[in-house]
Amino acid sequence: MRSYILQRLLILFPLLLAISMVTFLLAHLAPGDPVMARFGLDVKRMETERLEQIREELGLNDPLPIQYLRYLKDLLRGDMGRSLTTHAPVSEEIASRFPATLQLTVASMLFMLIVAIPLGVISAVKRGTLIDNLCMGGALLGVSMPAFWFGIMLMLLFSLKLGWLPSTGRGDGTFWGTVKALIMPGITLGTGLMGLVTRLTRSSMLEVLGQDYMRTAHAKGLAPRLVLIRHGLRNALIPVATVVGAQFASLLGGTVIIETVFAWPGIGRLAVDAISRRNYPVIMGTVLVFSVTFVLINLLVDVLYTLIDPRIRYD
Amino acid sequence: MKRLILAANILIVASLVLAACAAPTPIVEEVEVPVEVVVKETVIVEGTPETVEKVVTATPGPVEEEDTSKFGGTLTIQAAGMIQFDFAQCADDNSWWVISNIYSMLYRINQDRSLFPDLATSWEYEDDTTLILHLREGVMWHDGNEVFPEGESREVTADDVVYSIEYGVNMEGSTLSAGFLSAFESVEALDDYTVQVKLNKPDALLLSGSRGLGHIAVIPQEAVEYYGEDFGLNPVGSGPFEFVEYSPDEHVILQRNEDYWKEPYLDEVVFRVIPDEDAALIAFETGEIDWLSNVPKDDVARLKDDTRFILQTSGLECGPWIMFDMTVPYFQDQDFRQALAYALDIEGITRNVEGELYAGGCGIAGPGVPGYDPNLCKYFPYDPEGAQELLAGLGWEDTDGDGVLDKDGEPMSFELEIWNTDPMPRYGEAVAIQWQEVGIGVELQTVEFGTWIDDLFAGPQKAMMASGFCTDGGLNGVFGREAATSVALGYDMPDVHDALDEANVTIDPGERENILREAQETMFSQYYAIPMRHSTGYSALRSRVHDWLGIFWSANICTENNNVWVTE
Repeated sequence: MRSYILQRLLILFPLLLAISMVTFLLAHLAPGDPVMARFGLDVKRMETERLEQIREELGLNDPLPIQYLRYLKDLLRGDMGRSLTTHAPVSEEIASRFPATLQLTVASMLFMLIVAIPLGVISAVKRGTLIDNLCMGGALLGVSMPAFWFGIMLMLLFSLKLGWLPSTGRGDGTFWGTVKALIMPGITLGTGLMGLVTRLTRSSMLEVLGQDYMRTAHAKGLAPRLVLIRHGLRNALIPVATVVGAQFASLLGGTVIIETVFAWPGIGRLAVDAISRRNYPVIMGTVLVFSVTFVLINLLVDVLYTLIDPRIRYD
Repeated sequence: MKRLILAANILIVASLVLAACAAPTPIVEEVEVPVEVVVKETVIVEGTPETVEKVVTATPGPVEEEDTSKFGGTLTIQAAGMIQFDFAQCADDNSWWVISNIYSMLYRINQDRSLFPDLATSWEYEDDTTLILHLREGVMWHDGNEVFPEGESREVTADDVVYSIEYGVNMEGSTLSAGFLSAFESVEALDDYTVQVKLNKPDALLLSGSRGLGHIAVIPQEAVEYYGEDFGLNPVGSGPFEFVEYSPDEHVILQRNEDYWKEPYLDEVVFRVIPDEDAALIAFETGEIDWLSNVPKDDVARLKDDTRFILQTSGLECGPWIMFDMTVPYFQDQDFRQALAYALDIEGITRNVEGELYAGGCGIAGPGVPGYDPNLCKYFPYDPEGAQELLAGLGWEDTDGDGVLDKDGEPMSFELEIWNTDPMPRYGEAVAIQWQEVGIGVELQTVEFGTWIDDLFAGPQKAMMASGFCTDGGLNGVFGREAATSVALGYDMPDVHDALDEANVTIDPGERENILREAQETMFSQYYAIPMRHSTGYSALRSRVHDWLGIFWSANICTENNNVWVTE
C-alpha cells in the first residue's frame, strides 16, 4: 500500500508539469492580454509607449518559453506570483477563498449523499414500482433544473417570503450563522449532483441484489434490512465512491454559478474572473491547485476502496 | 416512510411555485425623530486637534419627515465586485466607492455633476493652465494602524496632496485619464494648505468627475512606503471612515473616523459583494442591504410602488453605438453608412431591450452632459425603403434572389462584432436581423470582452458595437484624434477631431458646449457612427436611510453636504 501511494504521489510531479505547460500556453495564446483587459477602451493610442512599458515590466514581451521557465523557477521556490489586478500573492488569493469553497463542497456533498444514496437504494428495492419512478424522476429533475434558477427560487421562498435564511453571503461569522448561510447553496449544488449518484446507486444495487451471496444471506434468515445494508449496500458503494470522490474533487475547484448566485466567495469566481481579466498568475495558480487537489482526492478514494472492500489490495 | 418522502417532495415543489407568485408583505416602520443633536467637531488649537461638542439643528431631511438625526447603525451597500483600493490602479466604480470613503478627495461630485468641497475647500484658476487649491485645515490621517499608531497621527497638508498627485501621475499603468496625464506639468505646495497645479495646456476636464483631479485620492507617503505592493489592500486615509477589513469577493468593512472634521453618524459602512443582479435584489428586499446599485428593468415599476424603497435614477443616460472600421471599402461611403442607419428602428430596438429604462435621445453625450443635442435623432429615422434606395443608388441589388444584396457579382458581406455581456447580445441580434431584412449581408459575431478589445486594436475589418463613455469627455475618449478606437478604426474626421481638440482646451463651459455640439452634429450627420437611443439606470435605497446624496463615481456618505444616518 505504501509503495502504491508513493508511486501515485511521484506521478504528480510530471503531471503537474504537463498541466502547467498546457495551461500556460492556452492562457497566453487566447486573444487579449491583461494590460488591455485591465484598461479596456480607456486606452489612448498615444499611450502605446506606456502600455509597452507595462508589458515589459510584466515580462509579457519575452518569448513564451522564457516566460514559462521564469514562472516555473518561481513556482519551485513556492512563489506563485502576484495577481495582476490586486497585486496580492496568488497563494493568498487562493488560500483566502479555499475555506469557503471547502465549506460549500462539504455541505453540498453531505446533502447529496443523505438524499441520493437512500433514494437509489429505495429505487432499486422497489424497482418497477411508482416509488422507483418517482425517485428516478426526482433525480432527473434535480439534475435538469438550472442551478441559478433553483437557487433564486430557494431564496424567494426561504429568504424573502419566510425570512428564515440569509439570501447571500457566508453569514455573520458565527457557527450557526455559517450553517444557515450554507443551507441554500448546499441544497442547490447538491441537488444538481444527485442525479448521477442516485442512478448509479440504483443500478449498482440492482446488480448486487441479484448476486448469490445476497440469496445466501436471506436464506440464512438474516433480517432484510441487515442484508440490504451490510451485505448489499457496502458492495454497491464501490462504483459510487469513485463517482462521489471525483465529484468532491471537482467541486473543490469551485462552482462559479452557485458562488455567483449566492455571493459565495469561492475559488470558482476567482478563477473565472482571472480568465476574463487575463490574470495569468491567478489562472496558473488556480489550475495547479485544483489539479493537485483532484489527484490527491482521487488517491484518497482509491485508499478508501480498501476499507470498503477488503478484497482490494494495491500490493 | 415512503409516503412521507413523496408528500415532502410534492410540498417542496408546490411551495416553490407559490413563492414565485406571492407578493411581498408590506412592513410599516415607525420612526422617532429628535430635533436638536449634540455633534462633535475637531478644531485645531495651537496646532493640536481637539474635539469639541456643540448643539446643532439637524440638517433638514425629506419634507414628510420630522427634522432629526441619529448616531449609530450600519449602512450596507451592494457592490458587484471590488478589487483593490489604490486610486492610481483603480479602474472600477465599486472599488472607488470604498476609496472615496477611506480617503479624502480634493472635491466631491453631486449627482448633477456640480462639484463641492472636500479636502480642498476652494479653488480657482490663476490662468488657463494654473489651478490653485486651498486645503481644509486640521484634517488628520487615520491612526490606530501600523502606519500611524494610536495617538501618533499627523495633519494632512499640501505636501500630501503633491505626493498623491505625483504618485498617480508617475505610476506605471496609472488609471488616471490619459487627457490629464498628457496635460499635467507639475504640482507644488505653496504653503501647508495651498497647492498649485500647472498644466502644459488647458484641460477642460481637469475639474471633473472620474477624470482629471476627480480621480485623485489623497494618500500618505508613509503607508505607500510601509506596505509597498500591498498598499492597495491596506488603505490608510483621512476620510470619514477607517478601513477595518477586506474579505475578497465578500465584503469591505469601514468604521467611523471619530477624528474626522465632520463626525459621521454611522458606526459602520459595509460594502457587500453580490455579483448576481437577481440575488442582489432579493437581498435588498429582505433588508440585508440598504442600497442596491442596479435595479433590474423588469422590477423598476414594482419597486417604485413600494413605500419601503426609494428609487433614484443614475443621473446618467447612455446607449451603445455602432462604429466602423473605416479601412473597409463598404464603410468609406457615407451613403452606405446612412443606409445602415435608416434600416434600423433604433427607437424600437432600444425600447424593446431597455423597457422601463428607456430614456430617448441620440449621440454619445446624454442629457446633462456637455455636447448633448436633443435634435440629433433627426438623422436616424426608421426608413427601410430609404435604406434600400440608397443602397440601390450605390449599385447594390439582389440579382440572384438569395435575400442578400450583391454588386458586380459579389454578395455584400461584413461582420458586426459585439461583446457577450447583457444587453449587448440583444442589441446585436436586433440590429443584425433588421439589417438582414433589407438585404444587408451582415454576420453577427459575439465574443468575450477581452477578445473584442484584442480584435479592435488588431484592426478588425468589421463594424463594432460598443458602449460606455457617457460622461463628460466621453466623445473625445472614443472618437478623439488620439483615442484608441478612433486610431484603431482609421477614423479620419478632421472637422470632428479639430473640434474635439478645441473642446479639450476650452475652459469656458458655454463655449465648450457649443463646440461639442458641433462635433456631434458633424459626426452623426455623416453617419460615422450609429447610436442607439439612451437609457438610464435605477438604484434603490431603503427608506431607513436618510440624507443620501447618491453615488456618482464617489460614494458621498459623509461630506460637507450630507451625513447619512439610518433608523434602526
